[in-house]
Amino acid sequence: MKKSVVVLALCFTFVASNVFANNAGVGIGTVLLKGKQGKVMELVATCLNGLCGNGTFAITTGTLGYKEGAVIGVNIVDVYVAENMDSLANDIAKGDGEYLDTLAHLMKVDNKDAFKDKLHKNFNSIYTSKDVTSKDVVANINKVNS
Amino acid sequence: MIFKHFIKNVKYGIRAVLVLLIILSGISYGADTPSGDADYNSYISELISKSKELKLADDPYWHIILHYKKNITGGFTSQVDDPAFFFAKKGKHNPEAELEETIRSFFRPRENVIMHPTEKFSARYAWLKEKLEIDTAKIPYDGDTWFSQFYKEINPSTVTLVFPSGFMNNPASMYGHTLLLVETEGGSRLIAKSLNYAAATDDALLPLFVYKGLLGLYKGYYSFLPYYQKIREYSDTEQRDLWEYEISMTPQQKEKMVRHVVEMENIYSDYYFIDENCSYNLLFLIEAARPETAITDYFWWGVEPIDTLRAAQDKKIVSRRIFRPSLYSKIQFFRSRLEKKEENFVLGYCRGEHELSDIDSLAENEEKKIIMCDLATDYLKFMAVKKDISEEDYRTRFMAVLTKRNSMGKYDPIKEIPEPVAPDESHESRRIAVETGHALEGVYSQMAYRQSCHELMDPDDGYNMNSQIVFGNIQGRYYYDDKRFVLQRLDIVDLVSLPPSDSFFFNPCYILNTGLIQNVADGEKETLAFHLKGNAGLSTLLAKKIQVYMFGGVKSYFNPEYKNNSDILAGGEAGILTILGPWKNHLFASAYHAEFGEKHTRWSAGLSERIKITNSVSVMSDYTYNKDYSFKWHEFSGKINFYF
Repeated sequence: MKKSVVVLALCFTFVASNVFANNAGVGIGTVLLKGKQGKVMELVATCLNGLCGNGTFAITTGTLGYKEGAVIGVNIVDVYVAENMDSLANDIAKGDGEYLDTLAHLMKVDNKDAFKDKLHKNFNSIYTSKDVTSKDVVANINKVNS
Repeated sequence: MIFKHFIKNVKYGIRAVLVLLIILSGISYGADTPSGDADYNSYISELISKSKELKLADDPYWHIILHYKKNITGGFTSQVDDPAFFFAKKGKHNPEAELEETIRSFFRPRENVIMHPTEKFSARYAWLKEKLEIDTAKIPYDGDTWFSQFYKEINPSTVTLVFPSGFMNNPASMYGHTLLLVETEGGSRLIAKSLNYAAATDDALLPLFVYKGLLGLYKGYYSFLPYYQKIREYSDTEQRDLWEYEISMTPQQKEKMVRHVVEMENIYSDYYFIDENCSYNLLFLIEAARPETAITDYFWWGVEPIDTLRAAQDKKIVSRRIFRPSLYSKIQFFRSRLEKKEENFVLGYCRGEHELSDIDSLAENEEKKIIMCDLATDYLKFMAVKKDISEEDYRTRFMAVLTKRNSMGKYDPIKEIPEPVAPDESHESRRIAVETGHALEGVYSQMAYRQSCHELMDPDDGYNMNSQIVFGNIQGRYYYDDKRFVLQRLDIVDLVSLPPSDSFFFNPCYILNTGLIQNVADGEKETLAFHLKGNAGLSTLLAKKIQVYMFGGVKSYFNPEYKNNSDILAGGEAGILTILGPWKNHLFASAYHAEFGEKHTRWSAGLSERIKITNSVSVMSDYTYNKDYSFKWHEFSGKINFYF
């Protein structure tokens, strides 16, 4: 790449600093419960949204409470799992679903159905406790899949 | 736009999947120094004269990718406002000068610029290269070297227009928003790049926000996020269903679109809520891909996001429509499949009133058990989003229910969720109503025009049930008895938010109305007054389509002729709304009392009926009994509504 070109893979960068700052990953519910807003701000935010107001934060300041920050060489699977802990847990428990399909895609698995089945059967060894972190989940998935 | 601390490079492997689009920081496309060396001058002149011969500056495609629109003087003005978008000083108003300077810019040296004009203005370059048959050996740098590499990483498959439908607690969100998704070949929709066009706002004050928005004082930019974040934002946090409209595009068209996306990155246009807004600007990306649709010219007065869906349907570019239910819709669906005691069991579990273990004895079969588990999972998420649960409790209960779910079969009830009427099939926003009837001052006929967008008694299809959002409504009335024409009412804003509450959901309701209206204030006749009404209340469903509500609040009227210049009433109202196919019934009663100024109490009760004839026509009739001061009077009317 030309060194003068600053390339940003924005998709996953803003996810990061909070999530990975502590290096421990993210727990179940963390993302959903994050960023309590006051009622007034919530109303305003919704109005902004209704009038197509938000979104640009994504470029300039990061979004959804994530501060901008550099994440170099972060594994995309780590980020995806951290960002979707709850929905992914739900899909693995069920043995099917879009979040699980996407994981299979990101992990470049050959036999999707077998992969999904394996994860489904090993739900308890992937989500080992209520305080499991995304890092553990990724490690456990790799273990189960190997 | 400080990107300095953003990453400088990302590994290729990662980018192949997730590079959104390349965002460039501190953009400079080459200094504004005289372009090119002497060697290039003859080729520059050759290309410019060829472009004149071919009249490329008048070509519709040139106008599309530069967002030129005809102005009132008959010339052209670009809707883009960022000076960085133009090479010619007067480029915003002069397509020809801009074309000439664009050609010159291609001859700028490659060195010392973050992005060469042939890279940054990728759509212009590709188009001119083709039309002018530019010989890449004769220019200093060919931006397509970079683009083809970049495009390989994007490798777009499906392009989708996404519309989040109205947010229950906020009728204003019915205006919605649209995003454009670009998926990567062989990828997954969840990690598709979602393109947003939005205003960069930092004002937390709503009036300021609205004011600036109407005047175009905000700068609008395109931005990108992975779709799953948008899903979480709309579907989980705001409880809005998402509608995905896949747009059919050939590979060539997709490439044209991506080229234009590159061009528009970090370029601002003044943002106007009413027309040059989020949805409208996304259409330029579609139009760059499919110029034959002329989709940005589809609108004649304002662009509401929902209109862009209709436009896309009209232009027949939608290949598939997909419904993605919100967390709220999923919860309501699961509940509809359960008995009351099963629902209550789930609710009790989520609230920590009892354990999950009794589920086996309670549910009659495994299917029901699965539905109960899925309901619990989603309701816990809902509680988390609403911060009605601690992180500790959430984790414990969420994990327990998933563990239970994991022990059961793969039956997935959510796949059976019925699709509601799609937003593009709703009635259109503008309405003309022709009415005749009898009121306090006699028999009248009335014409009304509403700019936008939905009233309580309009057909609900495609909208949240029993909600109202009106911006700009004017009613002129002619009384036959005294041959008099009056302005009956002029609503600036008229909102009714009526989300139902029950054991799972608590939703306050409100009414907010302001404008001018005829008011019987002094006990004699109607006078035009400035009107402000605010009510708060609650509502619940008695049956699926029968909703009751109660409100309390204040109605105030201001007119210098009134005692104390005002007529302020406090009171309340209640009603029942019933929907049965095309028919809708509204029974209502209200009582308001004015204690200050001229004392009086106003009672009224009545009913309103509506029948939907087609998507663009409905008929209504109303009857109201009124009592105020020494008057008792009946009002009745019939009207036809045309939506367009």
